[in-house]
Amino acid sequence: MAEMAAEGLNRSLEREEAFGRLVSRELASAYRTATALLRDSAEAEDATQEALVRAWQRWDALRDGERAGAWFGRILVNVCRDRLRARRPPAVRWRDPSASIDPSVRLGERDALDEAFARLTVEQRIVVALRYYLDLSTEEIAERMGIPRGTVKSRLHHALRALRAAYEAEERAIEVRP
Amino acid sequence: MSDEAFEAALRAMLRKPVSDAVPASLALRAAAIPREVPAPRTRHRLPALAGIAQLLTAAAAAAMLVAAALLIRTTLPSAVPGGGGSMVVSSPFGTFRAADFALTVGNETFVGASPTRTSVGVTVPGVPASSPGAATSTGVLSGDAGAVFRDFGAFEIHWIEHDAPMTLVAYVEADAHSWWVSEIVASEGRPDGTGWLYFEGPFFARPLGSSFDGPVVLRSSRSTDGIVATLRIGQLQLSAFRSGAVPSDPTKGTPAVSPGTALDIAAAPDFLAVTAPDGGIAGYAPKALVLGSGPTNGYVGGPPDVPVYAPDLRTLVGYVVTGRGFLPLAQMPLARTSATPAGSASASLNPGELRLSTAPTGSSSGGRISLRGTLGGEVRGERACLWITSSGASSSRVALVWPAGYHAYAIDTPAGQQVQLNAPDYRVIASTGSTVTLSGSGPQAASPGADEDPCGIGSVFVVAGVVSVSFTSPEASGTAR
Repeated sequence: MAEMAAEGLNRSLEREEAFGRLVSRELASAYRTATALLRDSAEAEDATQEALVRAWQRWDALRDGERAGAWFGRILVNVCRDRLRARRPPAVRWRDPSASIDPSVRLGERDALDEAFARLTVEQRIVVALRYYLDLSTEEIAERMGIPRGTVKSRLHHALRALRAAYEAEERAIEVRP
Repeated sequence: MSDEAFEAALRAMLRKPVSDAVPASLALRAAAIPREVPAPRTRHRLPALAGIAQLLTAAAAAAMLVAAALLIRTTLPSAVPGGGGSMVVSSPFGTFRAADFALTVGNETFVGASPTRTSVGVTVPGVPASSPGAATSTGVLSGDAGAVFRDFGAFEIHWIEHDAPMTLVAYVEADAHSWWVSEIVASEGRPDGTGWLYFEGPFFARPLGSSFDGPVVLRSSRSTDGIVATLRIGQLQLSAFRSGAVPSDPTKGTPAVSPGTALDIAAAPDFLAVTAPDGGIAGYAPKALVLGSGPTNGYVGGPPDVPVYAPDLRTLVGYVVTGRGFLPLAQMPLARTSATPAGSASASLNPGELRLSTAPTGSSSGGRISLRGTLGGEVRGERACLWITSSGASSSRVALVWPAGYHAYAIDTPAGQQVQLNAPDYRVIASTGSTVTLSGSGPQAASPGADEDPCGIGSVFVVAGVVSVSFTSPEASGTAR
C-alpha cells in the first residue's frame, strides 16, 4: 500500500514537473499565437490559460512527452477556434459621427489588411496566423489543426487572395485629394 | 506590388497587437494551475473482463442516449406542416415581414415560434423598436445613425426555439439609387447560441423607395460547423431606407485634409472625388461608402465595390473595385459573384427574376461600337425584353442581348411597371427610361422567332458593356445629360 502511495506521489510530481517544463517552454509562444489569432491581448491571456488548464486536465492523454509542444499547440488552436466561433457576428458597427478619425490610420494598408483579416473565416484566420506569424510549414499547420495538407493550402490560397485584394485596393483606390 | 511587400505587410499586421512579453498575470495564473486545478485522474488498468464489461455498459448507456435523442427529435417538428412561422420587424427605417418562415438546419427546422420570447432593446437611440404584437419575435433595427452611416442597416430578430437561442440578422445596404440585402446570418441552433449560418448576398436589390415582395428560398453558403441550411420564407416583404440613402441636396468635392490632422467627416462633402488612373477626376463616390466603417461581416471576397457617379451625382459611371481601383462600367467584370452560369439561357431564376436574352461572354468582341439612347422594355410572361431607342434622328428601336449573368426584374412604380437591369452581382445598372450608353456589336438582323428578340423588333445589338447610365431620361428632365 505504501509503495502504491509512493508511486502515486512520484507520478504526481513527475506530472507537475513535466507540466512546469511545458509552461516555461511554450507560454510565450502560446500567448503570442493566441494574440495573433484573437487580435485581443486580454482574450489571448484568457485563452492561453484555458488551454493550459485543458492540457493539465488531459495530461494522461499525452502519450509522447516529446511531442508535448505540438500537442499543446493543437489544444491552444482549438481553444482559440472555439472562442472565435462563439463570437457573435458583429452587428453593424456604427461609428460615432462626432468622433474624429485620422485618415492616415483609416486608409493605411496595414489597417486594410487588419480589416480584411477580420473578415476571413475562423479557419482561414488560423491558417494565416500559423503560417505568417508562427512560420509553420503546411505540414505543421495540418498537424496542429487536424486537417489535411490540401485543406491548409486551399484555405491559405483563398485567404491570401482576399487579403491581397484588400491590400492592393488600399494602395490604389480612392485618393482623397488635399 | 511584389509578393515580398505584401508578405511583409501581412507579417507586420499580424505582429501588431502582439507583445513579446508574457503578462505577469498570465505567468502567475499558469504557474498556479497544478495547485488550483484538480489533478487529472490517473487511469488504472482494469482486468480485461472488467474492461470489456465497462465498455459494454458504456455502449448500452450511449445507445439509450441516442434512442432518447431520436425520440425527442421525432417529437419536434421536423417538417413544417402548412408552413412555418411569421415574424415582423418594423420601424421608420424599413420593414422585415416574413410569413411562412422556416430555417432548416440538418434535420431540425426552426419556424421562429417559441413560447419564450426574448426582449431586445434598440441598438440605436431614437429608432423605435419593432411593431407591437409581433407574433413570435421582437426585433431591433439599426437605422440611420448619422449622416456618414445612412447607407447601412440591419434587421435583427431573436427568439428561442428547441431550447436554443436563435438570432437572424439581415444586413442591408444602399447606394444612391438602390438598396439590397448584403447578407443574412442566422444561428445554427446550438444550445449555447454559438455557431452561425451565412447566406451571402447580395439579394433582393431594388430601387430606393420600392420593396421586395416575394417568396424566398436560400441555401447557406457557409457555416461555422460546415452545416448546410435552407432558409425558406413563403412571403417576404422587405423594405429599407424609406427615408432614402443620400441627402436630398448632396454636395460633392474634396475635403480639406492637412497631413497629420483628423479628417472632419461631418464637414466633408456628401460625395468625394475619385481619382481616375490618368490623374483626373473619374467621378464622385458616396462619402458613406468611402469613409464609413459599415458592416464588417461576411464580405468573403473583400469589401463591396463603391459606386462612382458623374458630376450630376445620378449617372453611374463605374465602381471602385477591390484590388483594381476605379473601373468604368464598361470594364466591370461580368460575373464576379454571379449566381447565373455564364452563357446559360436556361439557368434558374431568382424569385421575381425575369429571363433576359443573353449571349455567352465574349460573343460581341468584334467590331465594337457604342450606342446611346433610352432603355425601353416590357415583360412578356417570365421574360424581359429590353431595347434601346437610339438618340439619333431615326429613333429606331433595337433589341438588346446582354452578356450572360445579367439579371432583370419587374418593378412596380407609381408611373407603371418598369424593368430593372442588374449586373451579375445584382447591382442595379439601369431601369427602363434610363438614358444609357452601351458598347457592343450590331445592330444586326435578328432571326425570326429568335430567342434574342422576344419582342420581334427585328434587329439586335449584342451588348458588351454599359458605358454610362443616367437614371433620368432626357425626355423626363428636359435636359440632356
